[in-house]
Amino acid sequence: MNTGKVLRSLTLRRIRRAGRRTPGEVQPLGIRGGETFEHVVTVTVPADVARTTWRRLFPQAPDHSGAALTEATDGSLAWRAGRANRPQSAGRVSFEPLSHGRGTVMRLRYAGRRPGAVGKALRRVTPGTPWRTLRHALFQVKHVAETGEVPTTRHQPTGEGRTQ
Amino acid sequence: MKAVCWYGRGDMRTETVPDPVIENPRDAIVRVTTTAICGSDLHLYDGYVPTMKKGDIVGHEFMGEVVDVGRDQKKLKVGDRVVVPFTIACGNCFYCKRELWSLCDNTNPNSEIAEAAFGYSPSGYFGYSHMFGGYAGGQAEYVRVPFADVGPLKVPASLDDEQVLFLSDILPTGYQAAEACNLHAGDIVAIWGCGPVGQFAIRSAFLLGAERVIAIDNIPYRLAKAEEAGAQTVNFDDEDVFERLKELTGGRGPDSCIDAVGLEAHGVSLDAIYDRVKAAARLVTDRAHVLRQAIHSCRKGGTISVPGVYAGVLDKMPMGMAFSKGLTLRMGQTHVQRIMQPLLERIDRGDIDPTTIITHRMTLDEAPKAYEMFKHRVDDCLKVVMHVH
Repeated sequence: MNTGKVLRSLTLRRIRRAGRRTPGEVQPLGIRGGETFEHVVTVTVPADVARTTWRRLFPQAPDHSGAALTEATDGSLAWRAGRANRPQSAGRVSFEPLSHGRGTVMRLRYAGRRPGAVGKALRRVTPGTPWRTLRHALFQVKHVAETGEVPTTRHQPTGEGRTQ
Repeated sequence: MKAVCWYGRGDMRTETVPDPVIENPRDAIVRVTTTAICGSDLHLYDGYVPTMKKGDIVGHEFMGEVVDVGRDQKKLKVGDRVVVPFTIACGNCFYCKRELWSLCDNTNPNSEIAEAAFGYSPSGYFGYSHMFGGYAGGQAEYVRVPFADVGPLKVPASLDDEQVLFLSDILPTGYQAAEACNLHAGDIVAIWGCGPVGQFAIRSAFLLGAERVIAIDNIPYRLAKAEEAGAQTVNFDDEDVFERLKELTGGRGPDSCIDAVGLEAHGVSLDAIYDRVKAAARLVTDRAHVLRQAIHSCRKGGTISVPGVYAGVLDKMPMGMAFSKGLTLRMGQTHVQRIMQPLLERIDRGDIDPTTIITHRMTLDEAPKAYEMFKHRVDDCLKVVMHVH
């Protein structure tokens, strides 16, 4: 049994399953039927610090659409990409304070039209699916808000026989 | 620099690789003076830990001198002599604030892989697969240490490297295992595995008030080392462990049982043979014979403490037995940062001498041979230390 392969397949299965999921909360984003998912993570900082960190790291939509972020009266951040009458994707991040100083729940909801042939081809050359890209963005905000940096192993040495 | 790299089952190589550099503001670069091979490194060597990649630098027990620091590094300065815990922790998250350092939320860059395997990701570790962060390890001349303002412990010049090196992992691991037993006066602790962690668990159990410790293994020189520390011993090749423990504890069973063996358990019973066959066919990763025996042997209402590493899914676990006897199961990677300082003080006072387990002193170039010796217990090998600089 190659456990590494099993883990990779579990991760991919999770991504595919997440892509099929349609939480009720996602529908108000205004896109029906496409790819929808939700990521949620708790940070130890207050909601305003989490929101400020998000805006600093991602002044625009973190899904590579380049859409502008808007702030709602409840403090959530949202974006909508594509034509006004036919949006391609939309997302919203809410910041829900927890009791007893336990921090803030950051909840990211996303809805996007399923990619056509061109979109699918683009996904092969752009870094990751929306599921993965937005999960990464959410965790980047958590890491920076809590520690001031994002953990990394980039540029670290490896043996000369590394093939990957 | 020179570093020990993993290339597959039974294939460690000492190679020349690029030096590490500072990547993040809280990093430090440590020039390694002394490093060691851990029993859990043998799980990598034997190919039981998934998500390793060829060329990965291994090793998670190391210490040395700080030679460079990131711009936000407030605790360490160049020239400090430090021991580095194998678990990497941020000091800021929900778990670090509760001193559950090995469960840190912010130090595993590959948390997505760990989440797929475990639901939630533990912290990153040095040199222990990409599922646990993919960080380059400490069997090298230099190491980049992330969040170096949290983990590394400065050590006094009055203590030499060999006295403090094991604060990086195995001494706190043995100590935490004994601590998890919540010992009371008169308690009897049974400890499976007389390797380095088992040896420190024996000594820690006595330090924490155990009246008697019974050590179980089948390697005579390791049992002799356990006896040196005051333990009674049981050789599982010669005796039925359950019956012997029952006899030695007045028919009640040990108050606590420590599994310091983990996923590569040996044994001669039917279940141990079954495990070996399934593991040889790569149908399971973990051989749970010791854990089953500990659950069977422990007294009612007792505690099973598991410092031995498990990686995957266990087969034929006697949960009904554990449930019916009301056992408490405690396990997990060591929260090294919590225990390092008190243990440093104990070493300084002479309560415990970590050097007692060192049997071999070698160099990084000799690492492939050292792994082979440690795995096959050649020349009564119990612990290999490699002096680097």
